[in-house]
Amino acid sequence: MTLLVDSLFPVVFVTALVAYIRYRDRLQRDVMIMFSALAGNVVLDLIRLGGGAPTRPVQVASSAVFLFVPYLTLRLISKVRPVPPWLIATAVAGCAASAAVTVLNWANPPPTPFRFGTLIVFFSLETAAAVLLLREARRRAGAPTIRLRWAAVGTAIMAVSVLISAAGLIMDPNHTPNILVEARQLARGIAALSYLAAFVPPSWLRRRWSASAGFEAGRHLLDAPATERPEATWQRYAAAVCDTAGADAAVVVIFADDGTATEVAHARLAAGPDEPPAAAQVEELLAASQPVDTARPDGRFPQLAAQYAGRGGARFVTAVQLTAPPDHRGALVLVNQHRSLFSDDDIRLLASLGTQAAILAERGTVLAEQARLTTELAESVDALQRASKAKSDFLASMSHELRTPLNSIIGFSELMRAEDAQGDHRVVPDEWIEHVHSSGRRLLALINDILDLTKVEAGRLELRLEPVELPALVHEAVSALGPVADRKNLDLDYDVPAIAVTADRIRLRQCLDNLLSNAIKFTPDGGRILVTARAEPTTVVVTVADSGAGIALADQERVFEEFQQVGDPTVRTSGTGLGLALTRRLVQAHGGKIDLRSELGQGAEFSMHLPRVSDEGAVPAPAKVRASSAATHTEGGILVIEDEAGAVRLLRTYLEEAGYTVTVAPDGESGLELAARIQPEAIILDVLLPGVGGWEVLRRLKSDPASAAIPVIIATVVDEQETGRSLGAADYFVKPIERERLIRCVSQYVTPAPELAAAEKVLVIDDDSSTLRVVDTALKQQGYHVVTAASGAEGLRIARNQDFGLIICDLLMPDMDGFAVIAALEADPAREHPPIVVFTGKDLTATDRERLAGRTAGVIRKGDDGPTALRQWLDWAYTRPIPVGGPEPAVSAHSQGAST
Amino acid sequence: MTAPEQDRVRLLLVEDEEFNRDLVRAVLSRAQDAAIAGAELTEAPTLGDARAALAAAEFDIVLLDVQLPDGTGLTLAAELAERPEDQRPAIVILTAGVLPEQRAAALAAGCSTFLEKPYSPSKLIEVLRSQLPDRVPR
Repeated sequence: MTLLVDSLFPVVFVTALVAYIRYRDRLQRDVMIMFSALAGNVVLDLIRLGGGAPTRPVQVASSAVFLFVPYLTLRLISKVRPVPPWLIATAVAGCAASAAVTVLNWANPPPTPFRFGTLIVFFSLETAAAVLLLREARRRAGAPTIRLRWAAVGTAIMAVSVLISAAGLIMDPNHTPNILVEARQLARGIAALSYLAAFVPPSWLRRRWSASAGFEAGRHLLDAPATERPEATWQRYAAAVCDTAGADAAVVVIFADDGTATEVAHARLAAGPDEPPAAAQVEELLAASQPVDTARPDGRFPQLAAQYAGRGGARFVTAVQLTAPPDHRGALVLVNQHRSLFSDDDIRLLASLGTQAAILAERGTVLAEQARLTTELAESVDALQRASKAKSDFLASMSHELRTPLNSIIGFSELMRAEDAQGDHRVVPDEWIEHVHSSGRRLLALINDILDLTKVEAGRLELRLEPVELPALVHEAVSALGPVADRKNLDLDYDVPAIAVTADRIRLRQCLDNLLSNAIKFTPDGGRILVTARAEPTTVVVTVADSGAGIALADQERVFEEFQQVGDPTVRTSGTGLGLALTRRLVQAHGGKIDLRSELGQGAEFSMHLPRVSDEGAVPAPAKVRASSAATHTEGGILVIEDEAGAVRLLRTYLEEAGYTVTVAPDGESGLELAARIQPEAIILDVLLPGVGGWEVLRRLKSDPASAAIPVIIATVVDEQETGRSLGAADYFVKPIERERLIRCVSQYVTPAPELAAAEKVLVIDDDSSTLRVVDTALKQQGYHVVTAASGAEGLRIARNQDFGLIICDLLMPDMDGFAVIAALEADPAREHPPIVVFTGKDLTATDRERLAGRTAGVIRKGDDGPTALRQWLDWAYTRPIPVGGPEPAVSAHSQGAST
Repeated sequence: MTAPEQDRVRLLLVEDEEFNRDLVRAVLSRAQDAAIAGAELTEAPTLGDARAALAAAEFDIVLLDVQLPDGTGLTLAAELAERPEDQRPAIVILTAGVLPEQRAAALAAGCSTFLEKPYSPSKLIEVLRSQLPDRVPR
């Protein structure tokens, strides 16, 4: 029985010895040494079993070694938790003294008081060790707790067995009563079993104890919300590992597909370096397969261990392999200040829990991804719905905006058809024609804007970027809109320094016009509009500021949307409703942006930010090729190559009215032939021609040295400006062609009819088309060359560009009236204007007369005999010197009384 | 040619675009139908003006644009629908908003007579004739 009990200690000793030899684990060495002292008794038992009695020296040696057990126990404990140094010192002193007493009295048992003292020392130290083990057990979790408790129990009962010996000594110093011997034996048996359970538990016990730890850690993990991010799941796992395995710190590292390792979580550890650990280093740490002591003086341990130890402020680093489904591996790294007894089981279990953490993390990833996709999907559905709604809204608005002017065109023209016929003519009210015309213009503007918008949206807008000098451009735009601003008595001005932007000149002008028109529309009478520009390092900011009603912050984004008008609804203004939307897109197409600064009642500032032309990069805009006027030509003039009769008629009218000689070729073939023969000063070319097509005609013209210098202006329905330009076209018009633009363009290359004497040319300015027609017919019959202008502004421009013998001007015109035209002509210092005859239906007031006094050559009243009077007046005027600035001729006085 | 004062058809035209008002005026002036040619036309460019006109006088027919600067004409139509039947003018919607949902909105506001822009003058006359009050001799 005794042997059986005593042989339990060697079992632990052998197990520790095997572990030490196998892993060279110092902790196992300490366990082995401690149990070697306890195992000494078994030698005595074996001798007794053999029938002999152990000799005295053997007994003494065995006792002396046994007396060191408390010290060895405390020493082992000091490896796994702090033990007060004084306790160690006391243990060394106590145990050494006890052993010394025993050895010194080796012949006979020592005196009873000494033996008693030795037992008390042993008891006290063992009790202290048991208390420390219990404390450590409380600090830990899982299986280590249970095993530490068993170790504490074993140690305590060991102490009790010594107490029993002490009791026996008191009762009879020479012979211990049998009952006490039995009790002591029983205590030692229980102690041995406790130690066995603590240090060499059977596997079923281990599993059971570890299961509770696993349950605890698993519960922590499963507490995680399903949608927890993977990093959070790993973090939770690391924390659970620390709690359960009693580790001071923990790190989770996962190997990625590309062979790198990533630290996915760390608990109770300082943040890692920016660089993740090298995969090879992690593998090296895993290969150590046991706690690494980073305090080893020989430094023979994985370098990564030192790094983790440093971050954890601790000494021992243990790495266990993790399997992360589906096919990833990783490492769980534990960092401890002390070695931990009994934690191998838990660590193995925690590593397998790592697999579950990985599954949870994977689930988190999948769910997070799913949530992200769901949100994304919902967002794109929203976006699509918004886009679809925007598209329907746009179409609805467009339909509305198209139908509105069409209503006027169809309605009035149908009314015209029902008017009284006079042969193939009908007499219809002027107003109706005006409505049809202005509605047509409005429709065209809308269609142009829509096409431009579509082009920009489809990314098909081709910008001809060049350096554009701002002052000139702004001047043009402001001058063009001046009359409109004047009508509202707006102070429209600009202050632009000499800077250039990289832009498509025409598009930039369009943007500026849109912003200016917008400002003019929304600024009440008497307001102020100012265009400014400033250079920034890479951009130029062009600002149009007005003193209008301003735009509320909430509406500021909406003004850039199609067909949106904000502000006071009762002050609705005309326009396509696309101007600002288009402007924004055009500016964006330039790589710029547009912004708006406004406050209600404080006016508005629209600023275009455009790419700046750096000073060194500035190149002058390519000069327009001007046909040599010295070219030897028999007829010169303009050659129009166009097959469609309507277009020919229109072009001929526009050009001839502007004073040009026009020759027409109905197809490409004859066009080329005529071009060679008459050497025109410019060619207007259609693209869609029968036979030889327009592009081919252009190519041949440009490849023939005789005609290469003739500027060719394309006028077509085909919008392929790039093709035209690349083939050498000087300019490009997409039909319908605007008269003003065409004439402006042609006048760059050709001076109108040089052979016509200025004196024979008459400019007629009137907004009323029937008056123009009547006067034109009347004067042409007389042999005058007549140029007509349908508005004050147009008339003024023509008057400035060409020389006339006489200007006939109406007074009441919509944008710029006759008074303004006359004033502008007077004010132009560059040229002396020809005599001006006022031809008007207005009853002149005293003020009017005063305003005209000395400025006109005569005033003729419109009326039934108006054209006749005019003709007579001209005949009279041309037979004698025209009294410029002189007294009004009699005709004026004569027609005073005539009423209309 | 003109009908006696009390028999004249009283028209209210609610329309913000000037040229559309000119068109209606021109169409009326050229109408063969004496009752229509002789109609007394009041023009209102905004809802506000229309309400003022309706408060000041009685009308037989209201020609109503939908998209007006100060709101939708359908609001006015709904207001008129609440009047007692004998004081309720006939309403003709004149609109460039011709999409099915816009038409449905007009129907919902109680307007079944719907003339979409662009309309031809003869169509306008035809619709006006169909809405002439009983007291007007045809």
